[in-house]
Amino acid sequence: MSTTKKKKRPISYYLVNVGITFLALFALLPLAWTFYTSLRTNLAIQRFPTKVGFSDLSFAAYIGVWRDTNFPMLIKNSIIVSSMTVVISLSLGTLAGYALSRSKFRGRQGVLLTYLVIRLVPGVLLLVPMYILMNNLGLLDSFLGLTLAYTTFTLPATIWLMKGFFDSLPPDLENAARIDGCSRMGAMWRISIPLVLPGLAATGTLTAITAWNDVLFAIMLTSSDETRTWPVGLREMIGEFQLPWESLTAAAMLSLLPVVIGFALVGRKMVAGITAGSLKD
Amino acid sequence: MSTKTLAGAPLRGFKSILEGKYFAWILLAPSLALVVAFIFYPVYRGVYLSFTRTVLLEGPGSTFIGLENFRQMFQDPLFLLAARNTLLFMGVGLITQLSVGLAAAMLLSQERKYIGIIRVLVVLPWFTPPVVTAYMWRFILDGNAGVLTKMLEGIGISFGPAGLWSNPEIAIYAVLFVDLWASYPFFMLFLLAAIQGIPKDMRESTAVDGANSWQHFRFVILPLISPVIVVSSILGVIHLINSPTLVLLMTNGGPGDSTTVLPLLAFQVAFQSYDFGYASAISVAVLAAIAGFAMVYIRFARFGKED
Repeated sequence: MSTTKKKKRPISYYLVNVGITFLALFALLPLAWTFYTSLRTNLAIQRFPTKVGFSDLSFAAYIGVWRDTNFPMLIKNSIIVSSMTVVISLSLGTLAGYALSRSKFRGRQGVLLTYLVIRLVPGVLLLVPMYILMNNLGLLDSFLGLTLAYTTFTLPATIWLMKGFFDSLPPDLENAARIDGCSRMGAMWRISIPLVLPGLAATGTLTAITAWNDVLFAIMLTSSDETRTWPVGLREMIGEFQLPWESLTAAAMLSLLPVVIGFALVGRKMVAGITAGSLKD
Repeated sequence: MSTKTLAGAPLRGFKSILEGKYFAWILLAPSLALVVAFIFYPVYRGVYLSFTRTVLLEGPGSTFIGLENFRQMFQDPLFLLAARNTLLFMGVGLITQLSVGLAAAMLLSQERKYIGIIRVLVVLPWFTPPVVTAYMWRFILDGNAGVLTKMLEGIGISFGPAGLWSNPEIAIYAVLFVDLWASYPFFMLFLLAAIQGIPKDMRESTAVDGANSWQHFRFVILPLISPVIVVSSILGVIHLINSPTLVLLMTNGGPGDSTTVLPLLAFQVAFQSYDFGYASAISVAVLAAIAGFAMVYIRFARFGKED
């Protein structure tokens, strides 16, 4: 774009700015309002639903949720399941992604297509048989059962993403290592993996968020307080105790926090996971 | 391929397998095994269950009953209502999310200060946990304490004394609005990637030919991104048919059965009445609906042209 154009801008330039601002507000205002609500008292929320004021705000609801409910336990369970999912999904996905990126073997297209189509399988169709399967394996109501269920959902995106990251590395580095006597696994481990670490971090975060956010399989596969994850626990708390708004929103904000942190760190790379494999780029 | 490394040293045992032609399959084996065990087998099992009578409360066994579940399904008024709601959900959801997604992609494809941050920021709703999304919007649209409800009342739009969530006429549109908030970024990302793939100087050449912005959009951008519109629409439709999560959390099918959609019905039949056979039959109906879209998707996705 030439610099002379920049001095006198057409109206459309400003209209675009208005549109972009609107999009940002549409995304953030509801979350901001929820955060604001979590700092208010229930009385104020009920009596002055639209009032915005900055007096009488406190973190009391957060302390209440953390101390008086089993929310910390729920969060702990979710952290365990999400971490296990990340470890298993990344290990398997990295190996598979590497193979699909580096080797041209018969059946490669079939494998790639399989991982593309799996993302289309309706979750509800899996619900009942997965429940039966986990029951037969003795994995119902266990961290491992939930982890395996999540891993199958996160694997396709992980594999496509990792394949993409490996694709973008120049093959010369590995070839050089191989000529120097490095084994194939050695070349992958010592040369390629360190170079895709940022991609690995983004993929891991995407996986963690998927596991962290899930409700459906968590409702179905867990039943005890010891394994229940936060979305299930929070849903039940709301149903059972008629949680007041400020506690509900405080719990919601606490559970959103890890997502926001992960998003802030690797969001840009992570969003690529949504389109991974579906677009030629 | 011989069992020699490039360096020429002979290989033995496991190491030689790793260096051989099965290298790729060995790396793929663990993930493929998981997929076979936890996707392929359950899908097969789910389809099989749909031809059986399997009610957990009557005992663990299942009896093969052929198409009985499907016969029952098409006479079940709740199934027909759920199918109708699913169609509505799909149609309205696709149109609203695709159009907002396209508009957003056009806006965000412009170069501005901080646009990189904003492009990522607007995707945050897609990653927001559904439980947070659901209760947040239930609150914002609550009849008594909802800020948006009160603001709309201020300008004369009222959802009745019991509020939005108790109104069977509009509750489904409220869920659709919330799904728009959470899911339009999905379309935006696809379309933004496609628009950014169009060479920048294209606009300059059409400008020389005297085309205005709308004409440029209509006759240059739109045709170029239409394959991506198709692909993202199919994925979006599948997502809309497929995910009962928001409905489950926001209305659980109510008020009455006015927001019951097929996957939610399957979920309720399975885990409230424990009728696994019938629930599977409903899921198979969902699968059948998706399969058609999936086939178009496979044809359209740029897949397979990469090599």
